[in-house]
Amino acid sequence: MGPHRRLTIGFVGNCQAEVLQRAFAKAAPASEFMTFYHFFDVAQERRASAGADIAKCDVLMMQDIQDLEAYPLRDAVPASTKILTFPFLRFASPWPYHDFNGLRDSAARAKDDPSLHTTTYYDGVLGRLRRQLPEPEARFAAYKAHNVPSMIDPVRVHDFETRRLQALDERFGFAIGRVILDGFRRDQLFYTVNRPCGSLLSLILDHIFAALELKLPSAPSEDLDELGTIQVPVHPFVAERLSIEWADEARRYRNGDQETTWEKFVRAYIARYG
Amino acid sequence: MTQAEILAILTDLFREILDNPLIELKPTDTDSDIPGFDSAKKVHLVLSVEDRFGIQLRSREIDGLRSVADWMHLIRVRSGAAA
Repeated sequence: MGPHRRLTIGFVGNCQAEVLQRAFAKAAPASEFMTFYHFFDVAQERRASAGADIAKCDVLMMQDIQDLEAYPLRDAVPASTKILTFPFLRFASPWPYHDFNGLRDSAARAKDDPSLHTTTYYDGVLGRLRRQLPEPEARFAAYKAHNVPSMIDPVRVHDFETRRLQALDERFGFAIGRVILDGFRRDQLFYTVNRPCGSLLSLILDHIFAALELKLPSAPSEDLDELGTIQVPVHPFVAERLSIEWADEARRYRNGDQETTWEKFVRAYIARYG
Repeated sequence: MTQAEILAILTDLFREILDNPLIELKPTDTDSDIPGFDSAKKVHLVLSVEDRFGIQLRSREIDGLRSVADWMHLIRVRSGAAA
């Protein structure tokens, strides 16, 4: 029998994959596993070193964020590497008008340097209202009252998300979508459209353990609850339409080292982007 | 409805949702050819297509959309529009 060799596992994806890699490294015995993380769209200047890591890995845990064939380092993955996928968690229902769901605010984006990540959560409806109602107070009032022509009903967005999450469960064979749909009204399961709480990421980690046939205890949710540093307030109208119990107008949300409310957040957006 | 008419409506919807009047869709365009588009960011586009064409798309069909030609084909099949 040859010398014992640790299994090298690479995690590839977004910030969720990074949190999962750290939690995996904490939970799995270091004598058995070596892990690393790389962002899916790895920066050009880091591709050589990332490619060297990828070339050494036995198992590649790919977040289901884009097609594997679109992975910039696809050619660096050895044929012998086992490729497993895990879900990318996102949930549009509480934030139906956010740019991440496709309703783009191009003028606001043009004001920011993307490399600075000044505001990562743009609002497509506020972008449209900017053209219709140049006066900031009138725009705030229309948005608050949900008085915007052709504004999509949050219930329709939630119906879309329900279908998508049911399909996600079928595809991955476990009930993460069901957990989201059953619990989002009672608990703040997401901090933004693509920042899930620790308990959801803990379920993903269990899924990864199972995929690797590892019998390890579930990681405490607190160990994976890293993404709440940025939180986007839920529109009170959306909260009411979807019966989201924890998101009322007085709710305070963390925003870096500060706290904000829905009104403060929207007024700051209007002030910043004109 | 002809393929050209579907493409014209689809172009208008992409322009509106992506807030970019300069978008000119071609059937051969894939997600990465369309400025500001991303396969994960389809919610509003799908809902607008459903409204405009009076159809409902299934999640698996949505996941399979890779190009403008795929959108056109799915719309035609779902709406029963003539080619």
